[in-house]
Amino acid sequence: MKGRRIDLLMVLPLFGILSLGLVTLSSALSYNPQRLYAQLVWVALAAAAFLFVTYRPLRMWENLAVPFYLATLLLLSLVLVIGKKVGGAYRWLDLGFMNLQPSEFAKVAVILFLAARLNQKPTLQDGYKLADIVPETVAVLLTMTLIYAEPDLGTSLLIAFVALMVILSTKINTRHLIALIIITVVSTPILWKFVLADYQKRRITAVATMVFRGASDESLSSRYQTEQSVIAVGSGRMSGKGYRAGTQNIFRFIPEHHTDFVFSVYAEEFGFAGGMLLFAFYLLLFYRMLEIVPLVRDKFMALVTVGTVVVLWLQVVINIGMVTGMLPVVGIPLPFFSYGGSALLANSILVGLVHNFSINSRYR
Amino acid sequence: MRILDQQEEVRNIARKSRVLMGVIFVSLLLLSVRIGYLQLHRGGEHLQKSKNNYLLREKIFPARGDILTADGRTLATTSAQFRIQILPAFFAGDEVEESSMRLASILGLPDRQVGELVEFLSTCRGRCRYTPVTVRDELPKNEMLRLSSYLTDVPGVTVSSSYRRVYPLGVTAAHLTGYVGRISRGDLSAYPGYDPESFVGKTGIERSWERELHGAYGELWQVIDHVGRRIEKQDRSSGEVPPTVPARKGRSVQTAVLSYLQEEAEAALGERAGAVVMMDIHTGDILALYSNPSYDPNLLSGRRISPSVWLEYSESVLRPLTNKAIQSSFFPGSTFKVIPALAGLEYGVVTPHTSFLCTGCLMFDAEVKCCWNKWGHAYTAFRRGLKESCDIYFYFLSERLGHHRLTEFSRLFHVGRRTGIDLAEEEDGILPTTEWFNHNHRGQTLNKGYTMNLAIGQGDVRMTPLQLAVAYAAIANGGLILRPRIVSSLIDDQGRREPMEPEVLRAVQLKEKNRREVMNALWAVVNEEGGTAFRYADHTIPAAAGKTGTSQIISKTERRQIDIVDEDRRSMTADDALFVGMFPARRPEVVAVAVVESGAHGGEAATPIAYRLFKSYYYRGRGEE
Repeated sequence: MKGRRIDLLMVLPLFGILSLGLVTLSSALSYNPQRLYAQLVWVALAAAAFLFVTYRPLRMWENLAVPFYLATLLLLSLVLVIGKKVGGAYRWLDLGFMNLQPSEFAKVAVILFLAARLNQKPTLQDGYKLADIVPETVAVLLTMTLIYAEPDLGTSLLIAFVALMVILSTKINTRHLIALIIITVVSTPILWKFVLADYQKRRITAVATMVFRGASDESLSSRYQTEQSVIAVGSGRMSGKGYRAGTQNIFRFIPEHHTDFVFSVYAEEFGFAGGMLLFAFYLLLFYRMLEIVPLVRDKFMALVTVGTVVVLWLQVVINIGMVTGMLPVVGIPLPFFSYGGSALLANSILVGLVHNFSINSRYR
Repeated sequence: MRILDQQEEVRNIARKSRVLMGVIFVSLLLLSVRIGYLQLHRGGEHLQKSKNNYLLREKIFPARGDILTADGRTLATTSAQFRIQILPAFFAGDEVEESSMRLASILGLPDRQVGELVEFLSTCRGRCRYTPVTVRDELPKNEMLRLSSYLTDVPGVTVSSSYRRVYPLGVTAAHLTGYVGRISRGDLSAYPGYDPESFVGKTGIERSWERELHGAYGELWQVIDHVGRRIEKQDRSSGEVPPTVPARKGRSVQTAVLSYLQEEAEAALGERAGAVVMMDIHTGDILALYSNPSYDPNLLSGRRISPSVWLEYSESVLRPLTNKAIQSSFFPGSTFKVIPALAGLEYGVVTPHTSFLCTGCLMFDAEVKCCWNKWGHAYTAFRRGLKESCDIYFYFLSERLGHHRLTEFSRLFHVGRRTGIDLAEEEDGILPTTEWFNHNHRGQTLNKGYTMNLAIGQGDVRMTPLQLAVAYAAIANGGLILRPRIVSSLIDDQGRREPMEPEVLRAVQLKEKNRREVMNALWAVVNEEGGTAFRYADHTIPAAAGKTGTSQIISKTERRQIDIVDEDRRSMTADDALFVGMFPARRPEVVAVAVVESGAHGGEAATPIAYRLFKSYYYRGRGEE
């Protein structure tokens, strides 16, 4: 198998997810085909990026990590200044022909940055002391703050969690780790009281009460959204209502049914069977990616792989948890499935890197 | 301290990544369980919820069944009419006031309504904007066509059809048909499944035959989107839509009423208050039933009833809304005498030849009882007792009969008990039996005088005109007490006819000899010189048999007081005049009852009314017009 140029078991599930996503989008966007064409253009771009990343030399990406991180910081700052306001938040940069969402690229930047920096930082037998990773922590916090200011709590927390997982997958001094946990526990109530905006608190409490008590009187709009989404998912039953036959979708009872809530359209039209197929694709993709961790040559590749899997997996869990009414409504799209170019491009770069590692480690 | 090399670092990360894979697997498993729970365990429930989202049921109101006469006339029908509605979402936009004014000028709406409309539209948000609002109702077709030509370029205006009840004979048949009105809260529980916007029969046939006349609602499913916008059929790319079920018209009821007899009854009563009933003595079919004064059911059946009309009807002392043929009981007066007469013969307390001496007034147990004829009838036997309606004869007869036997015999003829006619709100009347007396006159003793009063139809006995018709019909037909009926058959929307069988309530065993004796005497009442009805009967048609009655509604002492103090009440408290006749006397077919309130003398006031109906019946029979 030497010299093989493609890892089929990684590419095929990816292709499957993307295809199911496009089929679902063509149903969800049936009244607005213009947007579907835009998404197809993004898919082409993403494919190009995937191939580009796959077949570039590995070392180049490690060297590019810091400049890429700085560029992302710049873009995130730009969003706050000249960003385009959609739904009360500044998340997009209007490039005239397309809208760019820098927070999506921030996920890539943070993973690459952490992996590259930690790769250059040798680890002692006891693992890192907290003091050793202060610059990395500051970098992550800076990114989080800029995204949080948009405001986009969901992505901000996602990045925090991914960074934490990447750092934790290296060796950390046990005592220091315990100290960190204590600090986190103490700071949470302070965060709740002084940092979270009212609407964010309301959403969290709304879903919390809905999950635990089955009803909520808070935040009518997100409650409506969740209710309708749960109805859409549930009414799909075993085999779904059929392509373009989901009434919740066609008659637009679900807000954001092509972006964050696209899974509800899929589940309504293709049922439990369709849902399981999609889960199988994700599971295979994640398994195939994590499988290469023991095979790679250095810490950079291992950490990028772990970071990629974690960021994709978390988005899947949060998105589907939100669509099925288990988690609060936060703006996290379903990777390779939801409408939106920036996310697709960013995710393709990440998986492209892992694909690159895979080809280089498995078949060399 | 040793620094780890790359191999160790990677191995360390790989170890943790295996744990991560486990966590990933478990998390996706949990999500699968959640989805499976929503889709498989509670899937049906969610499917129903999704249907509730996009399907909107609209009720289609059924047309009410018609009410027809036996001779092919229509007593009640429905006429299609139209209403104009606006859909706030598409009407006006921002210029609510301007658009409302424009609509108002086309439709001719009053200023007050325009003000209300503007206020309503400016506060209408969300789903309200997709709920139609009626601005004009009860428009006839030509008016609708005229207006809709102006309305075509006004957005958000729709025209839809509804029904209005129409009574072509109006006043003439009002107490037969009754009228319909918006369903009340109380009626909603009595008629499960009725729409709160629907109309129900309030009185008369409309009420008693409500369940047949009403028909069945249809349903039309509308597909709506998330803001309640209707999705037109060609756009229904998906979604299972239940089929439209058309409304089914109610069954029509065919009455036995003959319109020309009904009209004759109205004409015969003229301005006088009272009631006329004509009934077939073999089937109980009501051929005419009229109560005067009457009302116009067309004025009471609309969506809005004019308050002045309602006030006029409900406050009038002549009680036009009361059906006096069944809802008002009278002293039967001398018309009651056939019952003690027949009872006397049946129980054998008198023979046709037993005679009593009438000297005008007599002492019975320290009580002076007088005949209506203060000169007296001298020796009076059975036939002349009835023919000349001698009160003294019936005093003696009732003395021999006793109270118990008289009331038992009366009970057989359904006195004081509703006949069960298929019209709403019939009254019972009163039969003063011993129990009734003890209950209503506590502490008093039932003496002979009380029974004597009963025998001449005074005292406490009360009968509705319809009960008199039923009792006389039984005498004419050999003892069958029939349930009077208005409706003889039901006709469904396919034209299938379901006839209603006549119903015999009771067969009274009568000796034919005795019955003939009574019939003979009743013939004499009308056809012999000296009979109380002789001078007022029309002798150009075959003979009828019958009995007059003049009932005092207040005592003579009270009368004198009223005559002095109250000019207005004098006419109101005059005696009621009654006549009950069977026609033709030789072989009776029909019985007619005429009651004229405050008509003074039965023979004079009531006999000609019954005769007008006999005459009409004789000349026109039952043929179709």
